[in-house]
Order: sequence, then structure tokens, then C-alpha cells
Amino acid sequence: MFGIKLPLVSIILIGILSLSCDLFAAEKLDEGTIKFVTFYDPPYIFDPSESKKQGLVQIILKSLMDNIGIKYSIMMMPPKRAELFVQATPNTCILPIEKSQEREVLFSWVSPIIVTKHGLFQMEKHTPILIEALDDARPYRLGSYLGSGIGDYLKSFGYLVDFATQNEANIHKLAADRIDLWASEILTAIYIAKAKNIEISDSRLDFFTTLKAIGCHPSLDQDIIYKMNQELQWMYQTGQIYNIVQKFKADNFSSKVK
Amino acid sequence: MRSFICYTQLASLCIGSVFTSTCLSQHTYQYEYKQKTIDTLLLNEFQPSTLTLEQQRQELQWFREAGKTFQDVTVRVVSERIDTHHYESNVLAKAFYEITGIHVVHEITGEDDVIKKLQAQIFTGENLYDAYINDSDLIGYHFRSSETVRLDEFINNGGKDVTLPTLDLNDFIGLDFTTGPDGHLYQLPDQQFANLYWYRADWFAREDFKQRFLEIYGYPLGVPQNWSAYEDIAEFFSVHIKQIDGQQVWGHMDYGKRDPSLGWRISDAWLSLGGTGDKGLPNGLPVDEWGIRVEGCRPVGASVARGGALDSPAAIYSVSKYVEWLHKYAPPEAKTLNFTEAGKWLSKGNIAQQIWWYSAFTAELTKENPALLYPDGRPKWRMAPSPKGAYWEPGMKLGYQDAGSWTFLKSTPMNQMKAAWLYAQFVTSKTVSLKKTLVGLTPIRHSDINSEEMTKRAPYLGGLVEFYRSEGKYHWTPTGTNVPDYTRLSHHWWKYTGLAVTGELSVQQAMSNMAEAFDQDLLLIGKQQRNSCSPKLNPKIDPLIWLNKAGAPKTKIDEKPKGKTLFYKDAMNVWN
Repeated sequence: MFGIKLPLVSIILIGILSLSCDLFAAEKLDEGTIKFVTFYDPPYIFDPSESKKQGLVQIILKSLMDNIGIKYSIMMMPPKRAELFVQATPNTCILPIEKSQEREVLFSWVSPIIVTKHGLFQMEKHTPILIEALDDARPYRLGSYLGSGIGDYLKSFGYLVDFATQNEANIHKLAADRIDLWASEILTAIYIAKAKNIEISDSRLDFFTTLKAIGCHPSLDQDIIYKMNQELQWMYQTGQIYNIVQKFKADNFSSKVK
Repeated sequence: MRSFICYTQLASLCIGSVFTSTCLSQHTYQYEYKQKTIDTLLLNEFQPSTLTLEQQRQELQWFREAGKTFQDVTVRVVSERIDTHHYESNVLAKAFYEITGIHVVHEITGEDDVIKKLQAQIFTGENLYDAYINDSDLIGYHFRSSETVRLDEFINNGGKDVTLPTLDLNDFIGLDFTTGPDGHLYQLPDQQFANLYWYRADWFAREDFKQRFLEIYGYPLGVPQNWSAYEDIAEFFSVHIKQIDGQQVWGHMDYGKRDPSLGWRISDAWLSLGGTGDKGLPNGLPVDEWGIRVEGCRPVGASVARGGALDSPAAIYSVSKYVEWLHKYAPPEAKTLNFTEAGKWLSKGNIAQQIWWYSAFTAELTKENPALLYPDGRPKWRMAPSPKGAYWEPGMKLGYQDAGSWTFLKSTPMNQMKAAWLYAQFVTSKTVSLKKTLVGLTPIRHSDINSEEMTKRAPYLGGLVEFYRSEGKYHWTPTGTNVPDYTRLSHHWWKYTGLAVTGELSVQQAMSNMAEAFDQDLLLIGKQQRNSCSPKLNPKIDPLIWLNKAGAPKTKIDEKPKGKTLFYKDAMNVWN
């Protein structure tokens, strides 16, 4: 019996030790740098392992960190895992993330790293649905995706929300007339439409503004949080953020994107 | 849809006439269309009103004319999530567009998010919204910062041409709350609600319960006048009655989740009625209910060692009672709920009383629900003045009241601000306000609350009309001007008291740490605001020196006087 168990225990121990060594090595390697944990969210975040392209948030982050002279690295994870990882790991930050009441206590915040708007999109060739106020969308099927704050927001007001597993699916559902309006963050919708080569009309109503932030592990030095916030404010007030956003839009989208 | 038809017809008209009168008929058509729209809205939507039909028509015609120069403008505004704002967003914004041609995106979100967005506009300098409907609690910040537009100056200068001649500022109930100590008006009230005591009048009227309560406690079951009586009633229902008609009932309801909404509960209510501050209206002077001492208009500290009262016996008593009752008398789930989640509990019909309840939920509790309403629609519940804690003294505020108010930031371009100001005046105009009051039950105008219509509705509103017709409306007040930066300081409330709820810190430790954090923030705010009303800390001295002086911070007293109750009618007279 023991003859069988001992090698198994040894293998497990070796595994644990080698994992600890890996973690230790990683910690040593990253000493003095902040690790930003993020997730694929084009056009705001692109996966560096798949594309050389920098998303809008990645560009702003680089500019912010370069300005304050603090080294950093970026790590990709699925959104939910990223949030849990940062909650449990000192010296890490997650971005871009909404600073909700529930999350407020879990992180130290640098905000807003980006301000986005959500709109309602329709197929360009379909008969237009007239939307003057959000309430006008009440009779229609609105497309959103699971885990999307805006889908939950609309549902909480009693709107008919059809949740897809991923936002990309909504443009196909729109084209196939399975939803009437697509509720999406504006740049994301335009990016997806362009990538899928499907024409959508401009948003008829930009109905919700979202502030996205950087959420850092609460143990991160408060002086660094202060510095990041101060620099971010400076970047906004001197027009640096505005210029980055405008250049990004000009480089990646047609001129009609506001 | 009406607009779409209008523009389609308008386009046809223009095409037809383009070779002849170069679309001269457009103006006439638009004028006639809008006139019809006004008449339709007057008859179908904006009734009843305190104005005559002709007076209403004149007001709407003024808006139509004033809107002419803003035809391509889209206004973005944001407000919290209550019935009044839903009505504005869904009905009034559209009506405003029909009348003026100005598009309005009226966003509804959590109160916390409204404040974050206002903060973000100040932080970034970017015009995120053209106006905010923001609690008057921030008045201390608005008058000290140079970010907020002084409405009185705007009305007399840049905004003169877009200010409604019949606005009648004196008709607004809550104007004092939105005026700074410098005498300038910073915000225009849009909706107003008070934090009151709520109880099941039908249960309190049951003879068997009255008899049993008298036997156990030695005084009659009634509207509690002090925290001792509230505590006894809480125990009576949670421990002695336990079940009514087969349903488990509770003698107290509150919430304890460690999130920002916990902050309002503590700062709006517990410390205020616990008696932490000094006498004075609208807020205690020199120490207010946040425990902040001012000298002149300058905050000088929150800790007792600097003359404040945030870690004083009264503050510790208030928060101790909050924690104790939450654990002993509220449903076990209450500890994990936030404000919104806890708000839904009253509708279940299993709560006997709630020491703090916002009258903004009147509309919600008057919707069809056999647990809370009689078949004829009259409520089984009543609102009454909240009981007072051991340190409360006559001359102090009697409760909290919020005036969600239109706020304009200087970073908004003038043209956008003017268009947003038109919308703000429209949704608060006399033409619209009585109907809006009946929908949302958050009255802002004396003329509305004194109207015949409100007299007719009074028996169905559980005491709301009686409250707003009484002097009570002046004794229930928002956060005052001792608080130099509400958004910056308010997060301490829930972060520290939340730790006391979970037992991670004792109440005394939590309050002591919070007072220290307040002092540190006051120091930083003082360095940033740099004006004659900016904070400047007192030196730390032996706390006993402050405690032995008259007023707040108050020395420890008997915290459990005998319980006292009153009949409902007598309790209502406390307002006067």
C-alpha cells in the first residue's frame, strides 16, 4: 500500500514545489513592477500574444505609466478570473473595470481610465425604429450579452433583453432579425460591425455613460495610487487623453465615428 | 412616433413647395404642429395643475419660443433611480422635445453613480453631462469649490434670456437647502423626500397587541418618541409576537452590507437623531451631525481631540444601537443587504416598524398590495417622526431630508447649459409639477402641496401630505455646509461602520479610526481648497477638555431612559 502511495505523494510534492518555485521566480522577476491584469476587449484591449495592435486602453495605460516612470507588465485572463486574481494578489491591478458599489471596497481605484457610451444599433438597411428616449425601445427585443452590465441594467427596468454568450453574436442576431436593437458600447459595436463587414446604422440614442477604472489590490502603495490619479487628471486636463482617443479613432475607424 | 409623422409630413410639404415658396410653409407648419402638441399635452398629460389651462398654455408657449435657438442641441442629464426621475426620463423628456425641439437624454442610474459621474466631470474637465440632479448634501462642496455654477448669478446674467418668467423661486420648499452660507443659490430642487419612521398602524391598533405590550413594558404601544421605546417595540414584535397570521414578523428592519449605501444610513440618520451634533437648523452649529466642528465656516476637526464629535460617546452610542438592533431584531438577511435590496422588504408585509424610511418610496408602497393596503386603497401603514436617541435635545434637527437638485458645472459649454437649464425649469415648472408630484410623491413646490388635489389624495398617502404641510419640512434637513467635500469624506462612513457590523472592529475602534481618517482628509482638503471657508485643523488636545464644555462633543449620559410613545395624532404634532 505504502509502496504505491509514496511515489504519488512525491509527485504531488514535487509538483507543488516546482509551482512554488515558478511563482517565486515570477515574483522575483516582477519585483518593483505593477502587474496589470486585463482581458480581450477590442478595440480597448487586444491580446498581445495574438496581435501587435494596441487597444485604446493599452495606449492610455502606457502613456500614464511612462509619464510617472513606473514599470509595469500586462497579463491576460478571462474577466471574472482576472477580477478574482487581482483581489487575491498583491501588486496587481485590473483594467478596464466598472467602479460599482459592490466592487468599491475590493480595490484601490484609479479612475476614470476611459469614459464610454452605450448606444442602440440597428441594421442600416432595415426600416428605422425611431428612438427618442430609452422608453421608446420598450416594445422591441434588445440584444446584449451575458455578464454585460448594460444588459442587466436594461433588464432591471423591464426591457426585453435577449442575452447572447458573447457580444459578437449580437450583430448576427441583428442581421437575422432575431433582435430589433443591439445595446452595446459604441466603439465596440462599430469595431465588431467593421470586422464582420456588416453595416449598422449610427446609434439612435446614446443612452448610458460608463466610467471604466483601474482597480488595484488594496495593499498597493497608496502613494502610487495617488501618483497615478494625479497624472491621469493631468492627462485629461491638458488634453492628452482627448488627443489619444481622437488619434485612435482616426487610425482605426472612419471619420464618422464621433 | 408623433415626431416621426410630423417630420415626414413636414418633408412632404417642403418638397411640394420648394419650387414656389421655398419652404415658407415649414415655419407655419411647425408652429401649428407645436401648438397642437401643447394643447394635447395640456389635456392629456399635465392635469391636474395649480395653474389655469390658459396659464399653462402661456408657460409652454414660452418654452417653445425659448427653445428655438437650440434646435440641433441634444442635452444629456443624469439622475438617481426613483419614480420621479423615471417619469421625467420617460414622459417629460419626450414632451419637452415635442414642444421645444431640444432632444434630452435623461439617464437614470444609482445615486452613487451620479456622484461618481459628477466627480469625474470635475476630475477630467470633460463635459460628460450638461446637468446633474444631485442631492443637496453636496452644498458644502458646491459653495467652496469653484466648479459649480451659482444659479442666482446665472439667472441674472448669462441665463437671463432662458429663465422662465413664472419660475417663482420662492414657491420651492427646499431652497434653503441649496443655498450656500454665502447667500448664493447653487442648485434648483427637482424632487424632495424625507427620512421618517414607518410602522404598521393596523398591527399597532390591535387590542390584543396593545394589551400585551402594556403588560410587558408598562406603557402603551404607540408611535415611539425615543430609541428606548423603539427598541422595546422591536423586541415585542421580533421576540414576543414572532408570527402574525402564520407569517414570521420582525420588529425592526435595516441593512448592513458593507457598501456605499451603508454610509447614507449612518450619516443621514443614526448620528443625527442619536444626538451627536449641536442644536441648530438646518444643521447643528458649531458641530453638525457628521461630528465636524466649524469655526465660522471653516471645518476644524471631526475627532473629539480637535473639538469634533465623530468618536464622542453620542456617536458611539448611535452606531452601537445600529449594530445591536440589526443583529437582534432585524431579519437575519438584513446584515447582507444594501439599501436597494432592503427597500423591497416592506412590501412583503412582515415588518412592524422601521426607524428610518425614505418617503420617496411612498409611490412604491401605494401600489396594489393586499399586505399593505386596504381594499379601498388606504394604507395599513403610516409615516411619523422618527424617535430620538438619548443625546438628542430640543432645537436639533428632527430628521434628514433630501432635495435632489439641478446642478450645473462650469465645465459645461454655455449653449449646452442653457438648453439643459430650459429642461430643468420645464420639469419643475408649475405646469408640470403637480402631475409629477402625484406620480413620484416627492413634492417640491408649496403651491402643489397646498393644492386641493393633494387634500383629496392625503388619506391614501400615509401621512405624506400632513408632513409637507407642517413645519416638519423645515426641521428635516440634508447634510449641511460643515462638510467641505461630501464625496471625498462619505466613503469613510461605510468602510468603518461596515467593519463594526461584521465585528472586525469594535464600534469604539471603528469610530476612533474614522474620526482620524476624517481629520486627515480635512487636512488635505484644506490644502487643496484654499479659501476663507476651507478646513484648517485645530491642534489635538486632551479630549476631556472638549467633553467638559457645553454642547457637542457631549459627555456620556444615561443611554436607556424609559420608553415613551404617543398616539399617532399626537405624534404628528411634534412636527409643529
